[in-house]
Amino acid sequence: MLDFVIESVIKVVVVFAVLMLFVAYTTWIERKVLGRIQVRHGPNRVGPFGLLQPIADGLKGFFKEDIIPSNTDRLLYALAPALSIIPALLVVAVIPFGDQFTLFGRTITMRITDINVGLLYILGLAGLGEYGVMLGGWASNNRYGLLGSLRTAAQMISYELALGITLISVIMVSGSLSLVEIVEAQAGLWNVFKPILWVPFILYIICGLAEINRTPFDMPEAESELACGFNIEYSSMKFAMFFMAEYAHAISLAALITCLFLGGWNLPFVATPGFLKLPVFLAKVFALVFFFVWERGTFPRLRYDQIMRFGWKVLMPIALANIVVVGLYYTVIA
Amino acid sequence: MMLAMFFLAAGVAVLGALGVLLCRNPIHSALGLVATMVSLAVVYLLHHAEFIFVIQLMVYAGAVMGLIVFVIMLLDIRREEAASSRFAPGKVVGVGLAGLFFVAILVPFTSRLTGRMGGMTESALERIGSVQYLSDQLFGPYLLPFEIASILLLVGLVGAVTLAKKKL
Repeated sequence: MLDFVIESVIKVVVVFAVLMLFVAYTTWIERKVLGRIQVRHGPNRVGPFGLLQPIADGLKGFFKEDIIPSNTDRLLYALAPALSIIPALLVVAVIPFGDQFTLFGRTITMRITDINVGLLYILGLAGLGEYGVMLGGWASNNRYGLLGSLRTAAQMISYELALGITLISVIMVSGSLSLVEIVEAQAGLWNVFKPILWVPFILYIICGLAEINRTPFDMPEAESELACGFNIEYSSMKFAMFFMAEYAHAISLAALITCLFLGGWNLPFVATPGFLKLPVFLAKVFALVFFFVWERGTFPRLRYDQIMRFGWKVLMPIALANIVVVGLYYTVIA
Repeated sequence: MMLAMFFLAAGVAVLGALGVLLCRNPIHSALGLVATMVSLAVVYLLHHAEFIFVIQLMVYAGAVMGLIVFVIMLLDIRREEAASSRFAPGKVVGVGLAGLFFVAILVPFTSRLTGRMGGMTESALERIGSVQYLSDQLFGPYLLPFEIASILLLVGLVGAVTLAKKKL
């Protein structure tokens, strides 16, 4: 019991530290790649290639004045950034980022936990994640902030449905709700190579982008019409926490797509040697993070009514029809 | 360890429920309800009901409460109107129902007095909490009730849309 607790605590601390490092450097990747897409250099003053920029930004966040506007709901104003980042961090608990290795005669698995409803757990946390954004905008007593929160709530609820329904076909193909078993089932043949899962793959990426509020669905913080959106009144570390939550969400979405469709730690078509599993997983995650930045630099933002119409009238019916198609495929043909 | 976790979760649930009753601000009340729902989910998890745990998180703590908070924000209710202290028939009905519910909660405790225990022992709970068992039951012996329930929900959904929309 005691060694289990010690092992878990060490794992949680290590995963948290590495995740925070990734979050910091995802902002650097984003600024650098977006810069290149827009034919400019991006950050290049702090350290070689601007590599120390995220650290400088973090320090700046700590030392800036924390402004609390008057007439805010102080409790919720302070609570909102925390409510926003906690679900983003909790998702990582069920993501398997590697197989297992032996250290001092102990077999250590490369995941914090493997619960048999891992996939549903992630969907549940996604539902909780919207509170931070909603309350942040409401508590800061600002019209732009409130509008941003309302948009977020509506958008997240709409796309969460399609997201959950899309996942059903992955569950049907894998026959499990545990992420570890889903990844293990893909050894040799990734889910993305199965034609029956091409539609869910594309749907999942679209809904996922809407879920983490990235372009072309970054309605909650459309600068041009909302002057920033839900986090307009936030400054200092509270703003930084919203910012970190956003990138932590992006990384966990990338990790999830990797687990569900891109084979997790498996190489395509060949057996993966043990020492390559973690690097393979991380390479896929960062390829997806690069994709998220790339599409942000490419697509214009949709209008709000377009987003809602697209979610309910296009994505939902396709996701529902897709379940029927996958079901028929498995009962009739396979 | 499990007992400590249970008391922690149960304590938060009770505090949240008190918050729902005592907070004047509707958003604070709604958040108290969210806290209660989340800690109830933890209680379910401690009883090996993993599926109910995630469904509680997803449906109640996430979707239903998200919608309630959304509506409160949309209507922008800042404070509750001063509550009327006069006698209302609704209060009597409410107190009566709450009393009945309290009696219903007390029923399981009678097993302590009579010494007769129910079938839900810890090992039985561990077996029936899993997704596999639940789906075997839902799509096996309980298929018809399951389908009837889903048709009922669908009818409710269609009815709500018809009532809310003036022009279809």
